[in-house]
Parts: sequence; structure tokens; C-alpha cells
Amino acid sequence: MNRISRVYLLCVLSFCGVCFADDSFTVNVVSYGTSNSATIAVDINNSPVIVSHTADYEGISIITQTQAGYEANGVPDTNGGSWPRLKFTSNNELSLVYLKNLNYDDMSYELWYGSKGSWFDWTFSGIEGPPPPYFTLLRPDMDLTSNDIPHVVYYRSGGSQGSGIFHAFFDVHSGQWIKEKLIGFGSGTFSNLSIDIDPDSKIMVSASNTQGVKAAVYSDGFWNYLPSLEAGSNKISSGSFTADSLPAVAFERSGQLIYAVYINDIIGWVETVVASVVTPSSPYSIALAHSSTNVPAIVYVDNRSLMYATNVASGWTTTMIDEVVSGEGAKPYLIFDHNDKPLMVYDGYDEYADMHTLNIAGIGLEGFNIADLNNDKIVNFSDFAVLAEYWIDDTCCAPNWCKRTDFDHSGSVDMLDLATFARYWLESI
Amino acid sequence: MKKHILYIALVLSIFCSSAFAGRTWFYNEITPPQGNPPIVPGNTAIGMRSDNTWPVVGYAGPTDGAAAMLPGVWVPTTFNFTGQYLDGATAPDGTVAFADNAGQVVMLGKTGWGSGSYNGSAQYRSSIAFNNNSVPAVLHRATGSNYLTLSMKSGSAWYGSTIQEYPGGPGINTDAFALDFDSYNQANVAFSEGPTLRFASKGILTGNQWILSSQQDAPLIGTGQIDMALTNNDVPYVLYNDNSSLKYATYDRHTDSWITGILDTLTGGLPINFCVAADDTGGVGIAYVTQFAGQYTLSFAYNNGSGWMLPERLTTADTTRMVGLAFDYENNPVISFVDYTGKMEIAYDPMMIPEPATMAIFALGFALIRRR
Repeated sequence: MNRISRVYLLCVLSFCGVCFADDSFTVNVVSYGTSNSATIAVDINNSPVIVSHTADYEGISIITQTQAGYEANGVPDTNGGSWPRLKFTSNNELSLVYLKNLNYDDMSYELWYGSKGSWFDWTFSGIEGPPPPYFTLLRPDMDLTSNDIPHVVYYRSGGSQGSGIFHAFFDVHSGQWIKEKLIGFGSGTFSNLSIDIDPDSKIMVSASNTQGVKAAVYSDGFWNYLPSLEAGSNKISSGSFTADSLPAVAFERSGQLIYAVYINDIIGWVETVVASVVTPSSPYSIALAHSSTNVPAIVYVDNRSLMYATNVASGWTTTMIDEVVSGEGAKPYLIFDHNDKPLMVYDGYDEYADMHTLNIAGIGLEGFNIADLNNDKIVNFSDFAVLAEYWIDDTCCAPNWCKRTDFDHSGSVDMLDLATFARYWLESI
Repeated sequence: MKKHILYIALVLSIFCSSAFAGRTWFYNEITPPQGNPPIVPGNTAIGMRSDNTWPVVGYAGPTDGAAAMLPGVWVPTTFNFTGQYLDGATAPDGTVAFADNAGQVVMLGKTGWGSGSYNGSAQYRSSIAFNNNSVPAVLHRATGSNYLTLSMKSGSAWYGSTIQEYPGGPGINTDAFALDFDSYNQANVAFSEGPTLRFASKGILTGNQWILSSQQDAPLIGTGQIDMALTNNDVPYVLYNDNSSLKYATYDRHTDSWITGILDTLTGGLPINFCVAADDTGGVGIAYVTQFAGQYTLSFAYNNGSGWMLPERLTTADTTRMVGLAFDYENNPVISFVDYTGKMEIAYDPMMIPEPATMAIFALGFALIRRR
């Protein structure tokens, strides 16, 4: 084959790639009635795994996609659990951090770590708490080093060290959690805590408070506190390392979504404007991640739209993914899977059924209709027959939930489930 | 200013020199999660999973056989070994495996625990190692046989090749053979035949045939237990007990000869148990139990490639139980053992600190600088 032929063949192949590459997002409703800060990870086989907690604080659930739909399995002994964060270790073991509140009347949370592999049951260890009544624990985030050491950041108010951001990691030498206050963040109330660890075990922590967005990087045994970034009144932010290990944050300021990268101590932060946004009223609505090829991606809420922004060679481009509930935020959590495809979970809203939903969206994600109960890709009388089989059955439970007909996981198949079913009538995938 | 720099350079060089360093040992008891039955200790072996970070201890207990450390808790398996003698190994991909002397292997890898049989018949003490492609291999000898077998796993089956004894010789000793792989991915076997150390290699440099060392040049090492590790630059260290001392034999490529030396003098009788392992820096360590100051004591000796440091005495230990040794991702030693009260523990050295005498030199130097 001569050179011209090869070039021609390459052109044809790339044209086919342009034609057939599907870069659109697939959005699936995972469950109804579930919300609040779900997160997502992919296992060694690149299968998405969602961790969520039920709205009534009954516990933490691990949700996986099977041929029969999304299947939720409760994590034992997580009653009162919330704010779960999930990662997979290099050995494909589940690594989970969550808050636990057994006394619903106060804020006396405990911070717990749990892990599970295919070869052992869930095991748990307490990181912090139960705290004395005068302080509380909030908003943890977790990441693993390349050798599977869990590192956790969380906000703690009160206590002898005062309010602020704390960092904990498990020390295999002593068999204990080592905790420290990140004093460079100062005191006060922080939100939007993020932790990210690069392959060389460099750690980035970011958070925001009334003074703006703050970030710190741990390297060579020391925390380096980076200059604060002025942020808007809502102080929403998200932080992550770029693929070349530069700290980066996304945040809102004066109706603009900003992406900033800290180049070095001389140049400092370099900012770019991603998009104009209608200032959201919730502080939980930005998620930043980077692909392995260093493409930054941001999921954010603009008014009632969940938007995806990414920056390739041509600059920032934005795509609308879904409509979300106004005023409460979507609490998106964004990752890139092993094929560098974006994958996210967020709180959705079904206006027709007037219910919160837990949604998953991703490029290349297999489509799934929650009301397609017999998996024939269309919602029709065959599915209604399945629903009728379990009508007013009040013994539904995880993981099957009456063959998924108990859409809102209320324990019974009732009018709310019928309303949800009707919402999808005659829809096909 | 020059003196300041000189002093700092001196301090740094001393800090970096393991020859002057001491260790701070942590002890972590291997106990099961709350509500589980207690672990009954037995002979131990150790491996480090997940980039040499998380210890996994194998032990010959009556109902379970291995426990893996997770954050805050040790998790035992329900697998239990039929044999009583264990050896452990760590693969480059983070898998940990243990082999007993009854033909059983248990491994903890990315898909969880797995167990199997490398040979169904009764064995003497076996030796397990992984090659550079994380393929497990077990060197063993069946009771009544007069040869060694190297079994390597391929798929779900184990395939063996044999090393025969020297024709007309005194025969290969029981429990006196060890296996390790070199940087060329060749299998290397040390064993004693009569009182003589023998060494065999098989791989790409030997045409995939077993090549045995000459008997004429081999050192006399007795007939007792041996263990062996190859450093990361393929220098073999064979540890053996000749009933009076714990000794080592290493091959000197410059002189093409074996060199032997005494590592520790044994007093108060035998047996001792020992385990040798190599780190990623060219060093080799040995953990063993011997009598010191009238008590059976867990000890650790380290050779950084240029010589052995004085053995460190850690804590009292059960001399009847086998110990395990592995190095973590920072090349710090981790030892599994049973203490004198019957508790199974790991000893961990997370850092090297200068000895008091060296610290005194630092202090003096600092004071002199401040005076100027």
C-alpha cells in the first residue's frame, strides 16, 4: 500500500469515526425518592457503582447496574448513614466513607470507614466520633493513594482545636487513623470539601467559605496552602488535580463559572471563564474532574439545567444534560471511567410525579428505562402486568423491590408507583 | 557558612546511611473483628498486598489460615491449612500467596481469595515464590521421593519440573531447599545435599534446563533448614543453621566463589526459626527467633549490600513458631511472629532513626555552629 493509499484510508476511517462516534449523554433514572449526595465509582471491569443513602436515613446502599436494571444492596449496620463517598482499591475492593447520625435530633455525627472485597464481608472502622455535644462532623470526601491508603477530609465544628477542616489517613504501621487539622484553611464554616490524590501520592484539598475558595497541596511531608480565590456569594467550588498534577478548582463568581489552575508559586492561579450562569441558590452544585488526557470537565447547575462543560483544543463548550429541580441543586458527582468517558450521578426531579430521583448520566452509558419492567425496551401492557402482579404488595425490600415495581422503595407498590409508571407509558429506549 | 553546609551535608549523609541507623518497631496484634472467634496462632508467614502496603499473614490455625489487614481491622479467611509449615510470597501485581507442607496453596489477589493444590501428596517444607509475571511457583519434595519438584501455575493447573539428586551422592536433605526468581525471570533453587550447598537455575540463560552448581566449590552448610533470597541485583543469600550458629552463604561474582559467614551465635539450644527476604535497594534482611539474655527473642538483621549490621533484638517470642518477613513499599521490614504470651503479631518498622550516639554527634555539631 503506497503512502497516498494509507492517507486516504486514514481519512476514511477518521470520517467514519466522526460519523459514528456518539458523544451524547445517556440519562437513566436509577430510583425514585432517593436523593442527597450520591457518588459514583467504576470497578476493575469499568462497571459503574453508585453509593447513596436513603432519604429517611435508613442506611447506605450500593447500586449496581444489572441486566434487569439497577439493583440496590444495603450496606449493613449503616443506619443513620449519610454523605457516602466511594472508591475502588487496586484490588477491586469497595472503600467507603460516610457519616452516621444515630440521634436524629442533633448533629452528633460519627465518621466511619467501611470496606468490602469479594472475599470478605463489610468491615468498618471509626475515624472520628461520636463527638461530644459541642462539635459536629460534616461533608467528608475521600480518595485513595495508589497503594490504597484511604485519606479523608471533613469539616469539624467546635472541639478543643476549633472549627475547621481536618485530614485523616489510615496508618498501616500503627493500625490507627491519624488525624490533623489543616490549620492553613483557618476556622469558620466550610463547604464543598474535595480531596484528590495523584499517582505520586500528592494530596490536594479544596473547600470554600465566606472568604472564598481555598486549596492546599500536601507534598514531601508538608502542606502548602495556596492563595485564596475570591468567589461569589454562594461560595460553591470543586477541586481536582489536572492530569499533570496541578491543582485546579472550579467555582462561581459574579454570575460566571470560573476554572482556575495553580501553575506554581510565581505565576499563581490562572483563571478562565467557563460560562455565564444564573447564580444558583444551593451550595452543592459544581463538580470538577479531569480525564487522563488532561481534559477538564465541570458539571454545574445553571438555573434549572444541569450542564456539562469541557475544554478541548477549541475552548470551553457546554452541553445541557438534564432538567433538575430549581432551588435545591443537583449535587452532581463527576468522574471519568477507565475509558475516559464522563460519568455522573445527581439528584434529578420528576415533575410529572413530583418526586426526587437519583439519576446517572454518561457518554456511552447503556440506556435503561426504570418502568421497563420486563426489559423489552418499551413500556407497555407487558410491564403493566408485572406492576399489577405486585399491586398493593407491602413486603417489598432490597435488592429486588417487588421486581422493581416499588419504584420509590417505600416498601409497598401503591399509587405513587403507578403514577411513576404512567409517566413512562409507551416510552421506548 | 561553608561549615554550616559541611555540617548539614554530614548530618544528611549520616541520616541516609543505614549503617548508622536504628529502628523504631511498632507491634500490631492480629485480632479478628469484634464478634468473630479468636485467631489461634500457628506457624506464620507474611506477604504484602497492594503495592507492598497491606500485610497479609498466613498461619497454620485449626479453623482459619490467613488474615488480611484492612483499615482498623484484621479479616481472617475460613480457609485452613492441612500442613503446619508455611511459606509466603508477594507478587509484582500485589497478590499474596502461602504454601503449606501438605500440597496446599492459598492466594489473595484482585479477585479475592483462591485456594488450590500444587501436589496432593504429603510434603516436606515447601518454598513459594512468584516470577516476574506474577505466576506462582512452589518448590517442594514429596515424602519418600529423592528429588525436588518446581510446580508453576498455568491457568488452573500446576505443571512441574524436577531437580534430581546427585547420582550416588548423600541425597537431598529434607526441609532444606528454597526458591526465588532473578531479574531474568529464571527460577533459582538453593538446597543442601549431604552437608553441601547446591544451587540450581533454570530459565532463559540456561536454555530452560536446570543447571546445577559444581559440588567441588560448594560450601559445607550442614543438613538443617535453609532459606534463600535473591537481591534485586541477583545476589543470592542463603541462610542456614549449622547447629551452633546462624550463618549465611552468598555468591561473589568477582571471585566466582561462595562466601560464608556467621550472622548470629546461637546459645541456649535450638531450634530457631528464620525467614529471609530482599528489598528493592539491594539489601536483604532476616527475621529469626533466638535466645538472647536468657530469653527467646525475635531478632532482625539487615545487610544493605555491603555488610551485615548488628542484629536488633525486638521482643520476646515463641521459639517454636515460624516467623515471616517481607518488605513494604518503602522497603521497611514487616515481621509476623507469635509472641511469648501466645499472641500473633506483626512487627513494623516505619522509620529509621539515628542511634543515640549519632544523635549526640548531631547535637554537638549543632551547638558548635550556634556558638560561632
